[in-house]
Order: sequence, then C-alpha cells, then structure tokens
Amino acid sequence: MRLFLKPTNTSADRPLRLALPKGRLTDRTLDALRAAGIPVPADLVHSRKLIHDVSAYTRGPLGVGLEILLLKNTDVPVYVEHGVAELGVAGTDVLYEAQAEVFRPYTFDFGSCDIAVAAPRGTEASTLRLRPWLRVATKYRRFARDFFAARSMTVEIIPLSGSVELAPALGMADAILDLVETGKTLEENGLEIMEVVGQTHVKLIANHTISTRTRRAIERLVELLDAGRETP
Amino acid sequence: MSLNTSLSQEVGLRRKVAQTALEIFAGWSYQEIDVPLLDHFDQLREVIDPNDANRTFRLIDREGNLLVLRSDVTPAIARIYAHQLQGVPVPLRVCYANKIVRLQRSFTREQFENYQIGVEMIGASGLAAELEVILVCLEVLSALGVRDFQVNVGHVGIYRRLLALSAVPTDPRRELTRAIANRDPAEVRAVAHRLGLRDNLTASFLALTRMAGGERQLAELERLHPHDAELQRACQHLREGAAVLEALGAADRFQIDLGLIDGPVYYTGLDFRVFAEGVGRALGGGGRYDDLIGSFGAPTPAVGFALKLDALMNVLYPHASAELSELDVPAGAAVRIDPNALAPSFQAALDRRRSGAVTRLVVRSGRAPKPLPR
Repeated sequence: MRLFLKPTNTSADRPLRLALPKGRLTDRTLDALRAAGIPVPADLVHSRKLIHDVSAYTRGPLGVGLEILLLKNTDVPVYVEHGVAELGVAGTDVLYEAQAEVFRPYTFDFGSCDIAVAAPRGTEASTLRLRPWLRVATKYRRFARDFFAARSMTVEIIPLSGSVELAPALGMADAILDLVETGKTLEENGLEIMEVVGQTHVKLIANHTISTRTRRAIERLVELLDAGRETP
Repeated sequence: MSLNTSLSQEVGLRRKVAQTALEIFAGWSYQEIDVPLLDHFDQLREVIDPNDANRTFRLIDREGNLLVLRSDVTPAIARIYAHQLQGVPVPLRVCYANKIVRLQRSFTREQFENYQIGVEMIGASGLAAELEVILVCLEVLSALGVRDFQVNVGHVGIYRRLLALSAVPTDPRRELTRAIANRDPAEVRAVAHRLGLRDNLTASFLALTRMAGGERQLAELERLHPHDAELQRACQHLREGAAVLEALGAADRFQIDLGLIDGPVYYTGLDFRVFAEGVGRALGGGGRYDDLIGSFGAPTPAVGFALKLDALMNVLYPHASAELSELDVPAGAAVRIDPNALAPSFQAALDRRRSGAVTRLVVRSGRAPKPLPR
C-alpha cells in the first residue's frame, strides 16, 4: 500500500545549512564549533563568498554535511523559519523582534548581555517613570512596546536602527532602550543605566519541520558543543 | 488589510485536494458534517486559549449577542455533538472541509482565512481510536503525494502530570510551556530555577526538550518517576502506539516527541503533528480531547485531526499560478449564437449540453469568430 512507501532519499545526503549572522558572532560561533571538535577553517569568513560548504570537516564528527550561510543578523530567523536553513545562530533580541517560531536547542556562553533603559546622567528613575509622555529611542520596537505596555506606561517609541545613544543628547528622546555590553558607549554619550529590563542570549536555532535524521544530527551537535564548553 | 483571493488554477487545485481528503475520510466511514459559520462567543471562550480567542472575529447580532465567525472546527463540532447529537450510536465518525477565519501569523502577510480539512471520532477512548485517525491522516498525505512527510507523536497528559506534581502557578506555566515548545533547555532551567523546582522535576521538563525524542525520552521519564502510575501509563501508551505504527511499516514516518505540548489547550492525551521536511510550518495536527465535549454537555471522549489546506497547497503546488489560467476547452466546443436567431442557436447549445459535451457559446458578429485562446 502506498501509505508505507519509504521516504524518498533525495534529501538524505544533502548537507544541513547553518545560517550565521555576519560579524562578531560568526567568529565566535566558529570558535565554539572548533572547541566542539568540528574543525571548520577560521579563514572562512575572510572571503566575500556568502555560502561555504564545510561538509569535509563535519561529516566525521556530526555524521552530516554542513553548509554555512553568512547573512545579516535579522535575516537569520527568516531563513530558518522558512526552512531554507535548518539551523542558525541568533540572539534572543532578534528572535523576539521577529517573533520567530523556531527551536532553540542550545545557548552559547558568549554574547549574553543586558537590555537596559538608559537616560542622561543625573536623571531620577522615579521622575522618568512619572513623565506623562515618555519618548524612548530603540532598535527593539516590539520589546519596548511590550515592556512599557506591561507597566501600563504611555510611551512614544522612536524606532532607530543604530547609534541610539545619540537620540537623548540631541533631545529627540528622553531615554533609550538598548543592549548594554560594557556600558562604555553609554558613558561616552552622557547616559547612565536607569534599569536593566531584560537579557539577551545567543542561541542555536532550528526549523520546526525537520526530520528525525536532522533532529539526531542537531542533538549530536548540541552534545559536542556542551562537551566543548566544559573543556576549553 | 489584505484578504486572500485565489483565482482559477489555484481554486481548482484546492478543490481537488479537499476532494481527495474527503474521499479518503469516506473510505474510512467518516460522514461529512456541516459546521455553522456563526456561533455564540461566550461558550467558545470558555474552552479555547485566551490568545486564540483574541484572534477570532466577533460581531454583534440584532439582540446584542456576541457572535464569532468559525475559527476552529473542533470546538464547534464538540458543541453540536453535546447539544444535538447525544444519543446517536458511538463511535460517531465525522469529517469536514471548512473555511475558518482567524488572524494568524504567516510568513508573508497577516492571514485571515484558511481551510481546515479533518475528522473527529467521538465517543471512542483508547489507543485504537488514536491510531485510526493517525492512519487516516497518513493515507491522505500519501494519496496527495506529499513528499517526505512525517508525523511526530506526543502526549500532553505527561506534561500536565508533571505540572501537577510541581504545582507551577499559571503565569510561569505559560513561560515553561513556551520554553519546552521551543526546545530551549537553558530557558527551562532558568524558569525551573526561579520556581525552585525539585531536581527530578527540572530533569523531567528538560527531558521534554530533547530534539531527538523517541524511546530514550520515555525511558528517561520513567526512570525519573518510577512510582507515578499516571506517568508510567502515559509512557506505556505511547510505546504501544509506536510499536503498532512500526509493525505497520510506518517506522520511517513518525517519531515520539514529548515536547509537542503547544497544540490547542483542549487536548488531553496523545497528540500529533504532521509536516513535510523543510517546509517551515506544520501541515496540521491532531489529538485526543476527552474534556471538551463535557464542557458543553455529557462528558464524552474524542479524538481528531485537521490539516491546513494552505500549507498543503504550499507543499504540493508551490508554483500554482494565482493568475487567471486559460480554460482548457476541447476542440469543437464552440457553439455560435446568431443574434438574429437566438432560439435555434440556444437549442443547439442545449442539445450539446444534454449529451454532456463541454460547450462554449460564441456570439457571432459579422466577422468570423476569433479562435479560442490556446
């Protein structure tokens, strides 16, 4: 009976695709892969190519081939959710903004940082909260909207895509909501943290509609990454 | 707001897909049921998730009652059964292919309308009924020619039992559910830590997040809760189901996956989700809902599944044209209509139709009629 035909084998040997955000996170992800015993070459990212087949390095330890895609960070969840890439690496801030429905089987130990509301030095947090119409500049529109709505605060969200720290200095915003790594950029632009309102983490993400074979490969990858983390 | 429109080719293909499914349902002795387009909202609200309720479209009738446009077929059928069909011999097997309207997130747009095609088997408890609907579902996917489809089978009863053992309050419960559904062990650990859960419960919730589920996942839960009869029973139930599917040769088609806990809130036991590899979103899913009918009338066990026609169309005909396609009219189908002799012309057309032949009327102008488009 047709019902029990074997699945077609066309996809069985196809390499998995891993979507990485171009930039800092790519280097650190590749470092983590190497620490996990998957010897992907470090100079990968120095070429202009956006797709790299590293199957030769992954078939041994993972049992499957791997292609690495280099994308803009906000595009990573899009590729993974559509299933074009089975795997990706993305920050929870990006995932939240995209409301991405993806699995998150592993959390890397790099790239975690605070999400904070910051305002010009000397601002009292309590007076900030009492302003009837607070203007907040941010790259994280959805997070900001949900956060202030949960506190029943009326806030004007000013959407920016970079150099958010400039907005209060020029009087466009009363405060900013942004990622804070060292706090140095805040300090140099005359801002200080009023409140830490969340945290982001960098996750390995996976598409929902993956076969058992792919799930096993991902579980193996997660085990290797865990082991790599313990023996730096 | 963009509303979904589909023209010619896609409409025809949609109908073909729905028809194939309905024929298979009939082949398994399911009777088609018609579900009303409008329903009273108050009763529905009590049985569905508040988030799902928010995504429905509501309107007010002349008496001021709040009505809701059909947004999910299963609760509607449960209500029809509780109010109108109690007393018919069970198990009652019904099927449907119905349009539903609700706001749902889609890749490309805010989508409002979709078709659900599915079956409900009412008044039957036990594994046999669950396996029956899974097999019906697999046959539909096979018959439609969906490639590389897979069904993942879980059991929400296991998660519910773990929640009961750990007494998690409502709000963190939602976070925990989300974290498990996302297969996010770090987040599960964080929530469990905040709640101060016992180690074996934290380990149990973590076990649910395993990507490669299967027997190993069941064994781990049984090891963590050796004396909990309810958990042991649920694990054994899934194991038996898996053995039957394997014996039937479907081993390549399914996987036990206990992280499958984010289906409709009315699911109570075994549940499953079907998808085609690499498509992005599930094609549909199903499960047991033993308490749903009881919330409208006498308690009655039931199980069912629904497929999303949109998702199926995406897999089967990714390039189906949304444009008006050329009609496939056979040669010789044209019947000329002479404006000066309408009755005899139409008589010729009627004769042709009576014989069942495809006919296309062409009004004769002075010139020769244009050839049919190719």
